Amino acid sequence: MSDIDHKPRGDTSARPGLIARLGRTPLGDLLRGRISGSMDARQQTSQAQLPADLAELVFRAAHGTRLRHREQHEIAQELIAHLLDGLAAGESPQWLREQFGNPAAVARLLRWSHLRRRSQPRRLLRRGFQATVGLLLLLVAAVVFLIVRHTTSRPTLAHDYLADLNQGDQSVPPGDRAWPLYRDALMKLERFPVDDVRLNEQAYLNDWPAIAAYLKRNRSAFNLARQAAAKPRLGFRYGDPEDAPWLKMLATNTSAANLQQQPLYLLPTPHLDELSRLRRLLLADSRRAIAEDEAEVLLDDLQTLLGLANHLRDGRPVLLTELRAFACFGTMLQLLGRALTENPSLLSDEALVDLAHRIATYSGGGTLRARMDGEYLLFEDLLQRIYTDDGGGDGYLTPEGSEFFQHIDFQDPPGNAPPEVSWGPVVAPIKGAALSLLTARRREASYMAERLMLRFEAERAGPLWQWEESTAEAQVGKLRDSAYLRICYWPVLYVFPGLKHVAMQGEVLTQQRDAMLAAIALELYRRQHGSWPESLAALTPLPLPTLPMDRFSGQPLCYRLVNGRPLVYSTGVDRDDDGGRAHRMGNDLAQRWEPWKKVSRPPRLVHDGFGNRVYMPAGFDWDWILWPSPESLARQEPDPDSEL
Amino acid sequence: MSPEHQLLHGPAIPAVLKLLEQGARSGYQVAASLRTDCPEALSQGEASLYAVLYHLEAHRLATASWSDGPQGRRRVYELTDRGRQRLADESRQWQALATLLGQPPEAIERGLS
Repeated sequence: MSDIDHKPRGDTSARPGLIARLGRTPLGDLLRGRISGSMDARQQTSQAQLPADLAELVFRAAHGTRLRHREQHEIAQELIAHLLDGLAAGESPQWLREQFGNPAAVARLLRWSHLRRRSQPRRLLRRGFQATVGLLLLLVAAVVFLIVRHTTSRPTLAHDYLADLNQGDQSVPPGDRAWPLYRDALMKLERFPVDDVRLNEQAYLNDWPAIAAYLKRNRSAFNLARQAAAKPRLGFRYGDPEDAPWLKMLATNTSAANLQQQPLYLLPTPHLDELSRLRRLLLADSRRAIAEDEAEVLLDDLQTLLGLANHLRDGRPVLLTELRAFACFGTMLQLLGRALTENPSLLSDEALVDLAHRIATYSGGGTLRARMDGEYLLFEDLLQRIYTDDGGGDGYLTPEGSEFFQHIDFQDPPGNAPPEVSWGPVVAPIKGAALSLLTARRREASYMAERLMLRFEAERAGPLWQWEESTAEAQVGKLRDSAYLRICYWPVLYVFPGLKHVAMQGEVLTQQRDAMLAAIALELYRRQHGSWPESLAALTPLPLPTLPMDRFSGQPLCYRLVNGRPLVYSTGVDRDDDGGRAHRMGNDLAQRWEPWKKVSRPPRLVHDGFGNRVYMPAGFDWDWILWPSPESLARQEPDPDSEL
Repeated sequence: MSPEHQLLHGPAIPAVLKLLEQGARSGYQVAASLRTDCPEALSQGEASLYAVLYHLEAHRLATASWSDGPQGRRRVYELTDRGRQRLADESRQWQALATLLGQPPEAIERGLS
């Protein structure tokens, strides 16, 4: 038995606590129910028969290796034996201490050599553990860096895009501005007796006396609107102090300071909402004029709508104003078609010719297309508000961008987004940092959006009959369908849902305009010849310079006489002349162009592109009736069994 | 030069290999011999000798086993065949070096025995 084994085991002066001893007890002892702690280097050296300073040397050398307890124990055992042998050989403790070497340097060498004694799998395990810990530390450091970078980053509002939006309207001479007159008209209008946003046929039937009385009472407001419509420019300016009383009346806070604080995409547009309200009221007034044989009022209303449609396209074009302008122009065409069907004598030859000229030259004539100039501007404004700016067109997402992201509805059509969940003060920086990491950098997002917009515009530059499936839309679909890409390019996706239907709106409106020009020409022909022509060719070169085209087929618009009455129609999505047959629902659906609609499909519920689910009948074996509208004919000859 | 590098490339390893060639020894016995025959091998302290022994063990140049003696349990180190081969290689290199330096190889042998 060695000298160290001669030491009494009961010495607990240097014994560590129970937990520490538990970790330093060999398995054999534990199985025998003894928490000996015999692997403890301190206990081991204190129990050795060595002078205290030599015992301390051994402890420091063994403990300094930072090896496992068992390995430290083994090293200490050898060093103790070495010193005991020295003492037994007659060496003095002082001499042995001098020969021992620096305990820290010795510990380093012992550790270095001892680690190489370990088995290969154990060394690999150790390396793996070290690598894992290293990676985790790197990860933690990266996360901390991202959180700090994200929380401290701020966007730089380097450019005032609102001023760009206003720029065109700033220079309009006061006498040419229509907006002050529109504003006065809107302020003069009483509250409409029914909800004008949901002004449908049922509302007209139920509340007609109240509506008609309202319209007559507010004649002066409509006259003001007519005067406004005759002005050359709209001249609306965001943040104009002169709008303050009107905004106060609307209870809308759109002061210049407020306008600067939010992206232009979220810019409040009370003037557009109110002009849309005016459009709906003019529609109601025109219907009243048609029903009550008020020719002058009808012409005034039509000209006001046309002027309003022109004004809405004034200034820097953005999608929102373009669509409102299209809606206004569409309303005017719809009313004109209705007047020509139900009460054509209200419009004189001169009035019809004048209207035809004004309709034909609306927005410069040709195919009506929504312009995107302002949309680029809005997107650049969004980028500068959600990204940092490195001065070279690049940057990363800011907390403002993360905040903005939370409010986005990525559903297509929108409206089915899950409820917003507040991230909270702890989770928000982590999620924000993760979002910042995943979101495409500013330059990349800008490049992607610009590329998609240009491609989209190029693909929709031709007439409808030349359209193919849009690769830009397909690309947007891919971005939306992939969980990663949806996050990566969310600023781009935020812009694109609106673009999807806008090109089609232009085509639909172009078709309706051309059909209405044909309808005016037909009416003028009837007045001149006392009967309807056998074909549209009889209308050229006067009053129609050229035959209007069917936007779906690329051929002249379809025309036929049914029961002695004219019918102007397009072949619709199936590009096939079905003799002017329209399903009551199909007449609307036939204008919703999608490439897959070229082939027959079983009946099903589909999104109509406007947030509604509608029943799509099997196949598309119908035409798109343009004039007279099936609704007008139904009112004149009510027949519930008729498909027309 | 790091202590590890000094240990690997200094005289300690060949010196210990040479001593173990003569028979199994405990750490203290190796140290006692080196004190007189090659004190440079102990330049980092006698305790560092165990780093040399662990190194030899790790590279299977020596084996270690516990044995009971008059002083108690001691770890005894013994040269392996691989260790002998390594010693022969080292000796050849040292002889070549000594020849190159114009010194008789016996001087080296004397220094190690």
